[in-house]
Amino acid sequence: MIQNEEFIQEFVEEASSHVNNVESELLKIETSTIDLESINSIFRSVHSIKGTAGFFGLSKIVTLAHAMENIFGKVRNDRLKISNHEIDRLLSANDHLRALIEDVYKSEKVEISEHIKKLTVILEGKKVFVDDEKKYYDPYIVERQMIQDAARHGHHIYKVKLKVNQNVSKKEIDSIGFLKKIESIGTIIYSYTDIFEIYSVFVFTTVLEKKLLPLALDISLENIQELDGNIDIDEMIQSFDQYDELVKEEIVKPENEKIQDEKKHNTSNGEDSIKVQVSLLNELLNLASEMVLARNQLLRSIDSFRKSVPGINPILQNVDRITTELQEKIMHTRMQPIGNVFDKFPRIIRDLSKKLNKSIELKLEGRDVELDKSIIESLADPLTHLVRNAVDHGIEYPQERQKNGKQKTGKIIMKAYHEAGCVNIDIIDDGKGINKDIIVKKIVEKELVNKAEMDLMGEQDILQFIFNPGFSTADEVTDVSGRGVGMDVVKTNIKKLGGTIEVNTVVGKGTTFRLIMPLTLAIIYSLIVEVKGLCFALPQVNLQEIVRIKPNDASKKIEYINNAEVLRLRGKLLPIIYLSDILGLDKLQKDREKKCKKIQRILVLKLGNRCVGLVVDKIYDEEEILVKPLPKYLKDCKSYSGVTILGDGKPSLILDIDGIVTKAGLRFNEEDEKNDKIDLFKEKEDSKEYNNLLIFKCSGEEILAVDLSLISRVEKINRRDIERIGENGYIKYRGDSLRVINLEEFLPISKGNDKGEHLYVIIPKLVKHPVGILIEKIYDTIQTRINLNQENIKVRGLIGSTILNDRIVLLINTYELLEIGVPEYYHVQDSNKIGEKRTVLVVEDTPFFAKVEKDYLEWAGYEVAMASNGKEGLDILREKKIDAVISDIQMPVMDGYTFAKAIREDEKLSDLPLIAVTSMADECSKNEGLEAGFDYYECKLDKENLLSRLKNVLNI
Amino acid sequence: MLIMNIDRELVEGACTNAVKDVIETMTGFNIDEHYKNDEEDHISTVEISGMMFIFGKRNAIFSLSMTKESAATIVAYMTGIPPFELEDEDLYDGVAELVNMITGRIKAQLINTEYYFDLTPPFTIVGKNHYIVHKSCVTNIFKKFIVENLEIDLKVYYLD
Amino acid sequence: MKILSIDDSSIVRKIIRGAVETLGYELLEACDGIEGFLVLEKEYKNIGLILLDWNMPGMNGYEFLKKAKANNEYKKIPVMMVTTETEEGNIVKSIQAGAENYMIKPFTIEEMMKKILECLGNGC
Repeated sequence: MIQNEEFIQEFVEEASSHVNNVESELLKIETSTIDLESINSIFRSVHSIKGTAGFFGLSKIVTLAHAMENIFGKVRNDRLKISNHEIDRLLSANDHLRALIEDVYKSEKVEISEHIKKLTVILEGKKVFVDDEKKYYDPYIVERQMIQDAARHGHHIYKVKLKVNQNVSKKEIDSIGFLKKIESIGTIIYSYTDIFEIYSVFVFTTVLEKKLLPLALDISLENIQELDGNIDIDEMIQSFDQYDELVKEEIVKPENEKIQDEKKHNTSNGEDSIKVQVSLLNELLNLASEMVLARNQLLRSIDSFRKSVPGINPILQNVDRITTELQEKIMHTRMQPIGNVFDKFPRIIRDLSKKLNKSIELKLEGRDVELDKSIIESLADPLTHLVRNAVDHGIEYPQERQKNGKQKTGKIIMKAYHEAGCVNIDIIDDGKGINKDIIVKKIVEKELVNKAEMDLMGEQDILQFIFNPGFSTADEVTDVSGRGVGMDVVKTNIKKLGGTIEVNTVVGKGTTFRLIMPLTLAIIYSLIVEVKGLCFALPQVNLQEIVRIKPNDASKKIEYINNAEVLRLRGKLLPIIYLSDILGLDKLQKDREKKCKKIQRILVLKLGNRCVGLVVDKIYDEEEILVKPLPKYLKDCKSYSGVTILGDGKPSLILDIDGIVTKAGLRFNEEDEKNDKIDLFKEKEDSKEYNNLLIFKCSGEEILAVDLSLISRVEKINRRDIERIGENGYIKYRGDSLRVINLEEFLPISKGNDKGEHLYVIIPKLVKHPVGILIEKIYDTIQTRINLNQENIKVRGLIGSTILNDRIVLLINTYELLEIGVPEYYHVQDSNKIGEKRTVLVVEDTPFFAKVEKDYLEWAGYEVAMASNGKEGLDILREKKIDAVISDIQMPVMDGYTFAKAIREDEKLSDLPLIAVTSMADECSKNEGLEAGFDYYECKLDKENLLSRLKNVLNI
Repeated sequence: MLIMNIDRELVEGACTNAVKDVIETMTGFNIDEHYKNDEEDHISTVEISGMMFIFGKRNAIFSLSMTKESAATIVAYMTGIPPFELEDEDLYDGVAELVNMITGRIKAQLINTEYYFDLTPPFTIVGKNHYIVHKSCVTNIFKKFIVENLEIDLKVYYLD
Repeated sequence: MKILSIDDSSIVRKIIRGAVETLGYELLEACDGIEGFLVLEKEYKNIGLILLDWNMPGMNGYEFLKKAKANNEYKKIPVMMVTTETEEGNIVKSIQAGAENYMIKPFTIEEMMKKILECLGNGC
């Protein structure tokens, strides 16, 4: 007997949520061991469905639920064990139950005998404990159990008989509400409704005494009868049977009574929530949005009068604040956790993986992340498609996975999280990835893009092709996917919701699909810009910064590279597009020159990893705007995503960044992103890595270079000034004679004819015995990063070689040169034994100096460990035994002072000899260094001093 | 202020029932009301009084007074702990609990009548030979209950 | 197995002790809700039943009940309310809030023992 549509709806909602609970618990049981909590939860759910359905006379639902209840009743009491096979059947029965519930009115006509048969088999088979002699199928086993339980807990059993749809002291009997009341104080054993006499009977147990029941259930005492558990059970059960027979008769619908909304919606437990129609929420949301616009208008128009009306400012602020809060809160009512959608997937994965014979594990993260209701609902389909894809195309078969060294079980992670004002949903699989080459092949096959453009396409661009309609890289079409119909629909759906979709893949490792969804659809912050006299709204979510270029500003100007306009911004090149161009407002290029005379305003927009600069004429203010959908005749304009009414009442189009960028035909090179990362890293090191080199040549053709920091002075002299004494040359320098040497004599460089009168003498720095190095010509001094090549040219006197301007340049090592050139001054120590078994840690960020130091330390016989900053140094100290540390001061990440302090703080390292080497030789730095914990402070270029200091410190 | 007459039969009956029920249940003693003659004092010499305020149509103070010895006996039977092992605090607590239970019972009996009332938590007044004195024109109920060597005085003073 | 009695009256607790120990269980005591939670925290694994007074200073019995039922560990422990008869509506409220049973004061030790057994599911 189905009484009232509104009640039915409530029943359907409740029962549906119970059915979902059963499903998720069953899945849980399947993957791990049987948990009593889960069984109880399933039992309660099924029991509840049975109870309420019974009330409405939905016999098929009752029978099916009852059969399931019996099974779980037995499992609960350890009298039945279920395995995966049974779970399959139970899931299938549960699905059937769900179908019955969703289409309640037709449920009576649906066949359920198949399921009942299967469930009966489960119930009767596999008994772990042999029951008593009763081998017949007792459908009321659960009820008996409950009555026994009640007795053991000292509960009473009552039977309440109520006339339904009759005014009892002006209160309607709300069926579900009543059932809920009973459940709040006890347990329902059985309930049925007698159609002929239109009364309902409830049998339940509770600990309350009879006299308290009227208060608890809001009924009068006369309707309550206490039953004696021992005597009346069988009678009771007989009457249940009667009921089952009755229901097969024709059902007569009684008159519907009108029930107040509040009663239906309030649960009798006094919970803190209320059910509200979604349509009401939507209306509220609309009103709130209109309120926002009205407030904008108010603020705009009052703006000029703010000062003239006393006291209006705080009022306006108040209205402003309240409106924003109101709108936010109402928006919030529509927020739902994404878990609602995620929770469907364990089942989907389970079924799919079974179907395809693959082993897959699903992990869900961020189930609590909330999104607007309509977004959540619309996400179900795209997500399902992406997950199916991952299972079908992404995850390999177990054997294949094993062959490739992966675990047999594939992993799929669905992750939701907040980032930069949006919600990201990642679908990550560790499958075989997407092969770009195949995509490229297909693109070429289908002639989607011409060769020239192909060459310009970056990785992301290529991958985005999988979202093209009809595009599929699958070799065969499976039942699950591969027809090429899905992905484009996915992308369209996501775009409709205001989101974007990105793909990242590594062949052999896996694929990640990332959905970037806005938090809300309706109201967004935007920037109002003007171009060619027309105002547009630009969503702020993509806006990074605004750059203002004054005319004639040399440091910031738009440059041309290969016919494309770019702006150099902090070392990166930003492609520039003119909004007026894109929108078709400005076809004439001529105006460009004129533009250079005016101030240009460029908005730096960020889309995923790509940045673009958009030129506009004027920039107004920020505004919170209500997004209204584009009218249908504008729907195909990719540059716009909606319309809005601005605060001054004028309508304005909302710009779609993605569309604009596409229209501009910009292609983003994937390498840029990688480079960006390296650039960021390098930027910090840039200042250190640059070496200042003096490029010169001697008499031969070879190009040589020396680091400027090794040079004290360069003097220009006349060839005549060189005086020869014996084999050696000398010149007069600062009142003293200075020995000079020719590099050609010691280095494997060619000796050319001595031309020209003038020569230069390089006077090295900080050497004990100054010796001048004669060179013929100085080319230049440059600041550059050196890519030092030490392999090809291994010569004493040379650090190595590098390539500059396409020429090989030899870098000279002044120390070594002097040792070769004037050995009498420099003791070449037989140092092989000195450094034996001692390890020195060199902490130096400039590769150039690092190599120099390493070289001469190794030459001196030490083992050298290298670190490029203090942090790395500490790591090495912890792992290796180090005897002494030579450290630079100026380093990124952790500088020398911090490094020294950290060492001194560590007990194990506090005795470690620390020598600071630096190009800063002034007193202040020295003191700072000693205070920080260094034992000695040396100049890095003073090799001899350094080595002898090291020797001292190590007590050799 | 009108001094309303109370339905003595109803209220006093409830009091007697309550005392008898509670004492019997908690101690096993069958205590009875002792009907006093007029000569006996309205003032009793007691050492422990458990008291409570009563809020209803009329407000009143409820008190249950007894000697320390009686209190000890009662508490001993309630808890099964012999009197010499009981601390003073136990006695005070016990008397307060008694008052709690007895007034609870009275309330239950009067719940559907016009004498329905609300209670405060009980408190205990202790002092050797203390008197509770009141103006003689105040409406009150005074009952004595005796069994063997137990003696309990019940008093209700209406405040308005 | 232990039983926790939360009641501000030491006499009531002593009476309960009689019943509990006769049944062979150990009694833990607390004189108000807060102390009750302290004991629960330490001993919840061993506590099979909580006997809860209604009127207590600070946190009353009902508040304690709700809080205990909201806690994942404690909610499994059955709670029996021990209260004077006046608060009938309160009895219903406490059953709705999850109390297993209730005991009206005054009570005899035999009644208390019977109810304790029923709460533990060992009634006859």
